[in-house]
Amino acid sequence: MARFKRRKRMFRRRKICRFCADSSFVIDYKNPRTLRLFTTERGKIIPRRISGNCAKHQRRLTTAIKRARTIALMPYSASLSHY
Amino acid sequence: MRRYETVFIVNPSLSQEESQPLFDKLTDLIAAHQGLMVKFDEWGHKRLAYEIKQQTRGYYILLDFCGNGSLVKELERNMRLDDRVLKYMTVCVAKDVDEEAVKTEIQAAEEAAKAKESSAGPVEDAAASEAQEQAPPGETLEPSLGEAEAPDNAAVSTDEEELTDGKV
Repeated sequence: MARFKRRKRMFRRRKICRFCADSSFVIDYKNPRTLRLFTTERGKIIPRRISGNCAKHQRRLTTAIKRARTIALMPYSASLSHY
Repeated sequence: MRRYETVFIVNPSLSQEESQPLFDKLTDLIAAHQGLMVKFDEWGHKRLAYEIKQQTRGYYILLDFCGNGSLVKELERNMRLDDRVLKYMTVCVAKDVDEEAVKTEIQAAEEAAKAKESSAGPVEDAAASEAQEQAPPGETLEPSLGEAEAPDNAAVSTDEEELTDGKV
């Protein structure tokens, strides 16, 4: 059963935590530019499952994004003018 | 002693003369409570991600200082009472900071700033003009959002642009 499931699965590139790979890529709530890479255009935080971050960095990233939200550097929810 | 960072947003319509007394009051407060001022960084006018007190823009200031809980309490009390401050947030950066180490750090920063001023005059001008050229696309929020609305490929490319902007 397990083997069947594995065969069915498509080939995926293995995701790597970008913060582990590049030490110059720092998580900081004062820098919304980098944080924005890890949110959707609606302002939601992208899950680890999709972004590929490691647990440690995802935890720091979420606190940083939430801090940036409290001082209005990032939106709680971005409105899309097209709707 | 603990090290704190306070980011606060001041009403953007205030002139320099109007906001200066507020800044002086806050910095005096730090000194009065045996605190140590490390950095007073004015980020300048920025667009807010959401409206605060019917304002869409704000003047951001970062206060980097050392002190104890009573100082933070007093600072936040003052900011809460002041109508000029739209919003504030204090973050504890480090617990148990060595006072001497911070003092040397302040001195080093001052010397670095002086050295920069004296040596890199023309280079700084070039960098400033470059920054101005690149500022318009990054500054406004709406155009980038609009691009992200377009097909998937477009969204990816805007992300990359933003990243390179940040590194510059």
